[in-house]
Amino acid sequence: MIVRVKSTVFATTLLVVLLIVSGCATRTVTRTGLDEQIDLSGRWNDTDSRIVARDMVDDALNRPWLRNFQQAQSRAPVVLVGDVRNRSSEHIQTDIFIRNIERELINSGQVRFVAGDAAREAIRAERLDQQTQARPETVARLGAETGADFMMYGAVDSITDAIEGQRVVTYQVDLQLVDMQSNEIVWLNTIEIRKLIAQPRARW
Amino acid sequence: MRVRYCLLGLTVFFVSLGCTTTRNTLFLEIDTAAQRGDFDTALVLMEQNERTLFSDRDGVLLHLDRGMLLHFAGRHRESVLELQEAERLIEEYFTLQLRQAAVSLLLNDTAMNYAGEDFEDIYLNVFNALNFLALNDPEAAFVEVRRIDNKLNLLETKYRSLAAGFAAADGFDAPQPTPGETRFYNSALARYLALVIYRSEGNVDSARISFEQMENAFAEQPSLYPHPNPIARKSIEPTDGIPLSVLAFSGRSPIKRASTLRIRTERNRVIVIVSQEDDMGLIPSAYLSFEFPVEAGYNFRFELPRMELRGSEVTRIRVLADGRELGEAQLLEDMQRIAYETFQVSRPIVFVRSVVRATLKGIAGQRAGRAMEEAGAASGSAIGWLAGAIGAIATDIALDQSEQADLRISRFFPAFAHAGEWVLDPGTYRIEIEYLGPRGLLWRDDLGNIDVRPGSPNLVSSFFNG
Repeated sequence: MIVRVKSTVFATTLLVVLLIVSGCATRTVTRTGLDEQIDLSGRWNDTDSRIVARDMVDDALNRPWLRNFQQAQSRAPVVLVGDVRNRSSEHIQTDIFIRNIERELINSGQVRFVAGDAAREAIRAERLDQQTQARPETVARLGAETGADFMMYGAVDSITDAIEGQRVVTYQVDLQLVDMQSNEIVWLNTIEIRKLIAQPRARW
Repeated sequence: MRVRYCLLGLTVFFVSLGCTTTRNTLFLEIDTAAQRGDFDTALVLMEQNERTLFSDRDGVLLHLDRGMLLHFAGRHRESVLELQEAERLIEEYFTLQLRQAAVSLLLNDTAMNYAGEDFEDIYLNVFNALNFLALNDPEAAFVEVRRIDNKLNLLETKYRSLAAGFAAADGFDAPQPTPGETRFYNSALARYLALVIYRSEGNVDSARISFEQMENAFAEQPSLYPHPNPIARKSIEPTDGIPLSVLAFSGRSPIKRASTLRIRTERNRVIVIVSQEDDMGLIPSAYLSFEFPVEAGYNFRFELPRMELRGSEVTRIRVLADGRELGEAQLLEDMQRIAYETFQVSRPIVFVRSVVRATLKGIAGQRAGRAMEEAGAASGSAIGWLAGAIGAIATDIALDQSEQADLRISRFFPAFAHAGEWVLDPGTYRIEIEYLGPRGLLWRDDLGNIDVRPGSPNLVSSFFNG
């Protein structure tokens, strides 16, 4: 009898200890390249933002509006990136997406670029301040801003279809480029990203 | 001797892990502060007692409770972060940890991560939408509404067929959903919030769909919505002015308390004895028995959670604009009833799980106890006998301590959501909400000057904790 109790107690204690020990995990951190695609939660992430921005700008710069403008005006067009609305079911930082687009546009060297409205307001305030505070030869002139020829704006939408443990999210990013003078839409594009997110019902 | 050390270690382990502190008692001070509207103090108290009130497995509750207190304290940006973290953990805990499940088989349900109830998952987005509206960020509020929509769609896919069958069956013989059968899958409150936001965008189709889904919530979940819908169809697209929407929350959500039950065994039969004190001090008992391969003569206790409604003193809610009474906000969602019904649905499962666990654990423990006593007696020495007896008693105590009810639930959601809409001319109005009880005014919430203008949700929310 004593032997049976001993073995039962030993087995139970061992099981309990194993259960506790198996819960002790350590955190590891690994640095990764920015181009590496990492998907953890399945939500919109920096990779999506970067890829969509690059593909959008690539497409925009290879369409006829750019050639037409360069031929007609003999200069590079001036572009302004306006608002990209978040109409998805995730809190997407659209300002990061806008920065990505701006970077791709500037780095292409094919268009000129003016600052967006928030930056513009700050610059105007600074310029106004210069009129009274800076040495005359260094003062930036008032009323000498470069006007944009085109404005790019758009929206991110998402459609979710889900059953328990599985979710398909389709992100649709729409951007368009509008002629500031004529309101003519000279370019528009849609890029879709679809993600299947599966979550197991149980794990050890 | 080694056996006794092992058992002593096991006993200490069971006692230490089983000691889920009486959260309800510890929360009393926080509740009191919250009830007098001193949410900052409630938050400080919660922070000071965080490790005692919340275990590592209660992250969802910690962030829900903190998020709601921050919301009521007007600290909307912090509230957003807390509620978002609660939502992230709910998603993460969808995946059951088998390791925890195994421990919970040995101990009790509190050994598992608290993954949140469906209504908690929906309401956190409702209050985050209200947070974003308070932060003047309707685009982010819209995101919350779309998240609600996705979650409700998912719940609908899971539970709708049964409820739709109940609603479609017309006539006296139609089966009616009873407590324990109704699954919450559609929230009129959440749908109303969506309606208001879609309407502000001029998206009439989506506003109409939200209204129809709100009507479905009432039609298909009659045990959750026995009252009429306070929102009229014309609110989809009011033509005679700008609608001011008022959401007024009152009361406190239910809490869970423990009921003690006893298990007695006869030959091949387990008898569960339910004892509970009622208001008259009587102890009515219920018996339940089932066949189970077991010897006669075992006797042990276990606990089950029961839900206690905390309700509200509020009987009427009056809305005033510039001192003029606009009317009364009517009940839109009985949030405490939804919590209660959700609890009722899971109750049979919790009951069976607890009975089986308590029975198996109790039998194993008492057998071990008897074996210790016998081993002590067989040793022939007084010390051995005493050690055996103490070991047996300690095992009984450890098993009783470990078998505790899972009393976890969010505590700071309101009990009721009331809504009202009034069409006004564009302009600025001083809006006040009066909460009235049977003996008159309980609380006047002065919301200050509110701009009522086209293209804006024009939604104000107010809360009284009593």
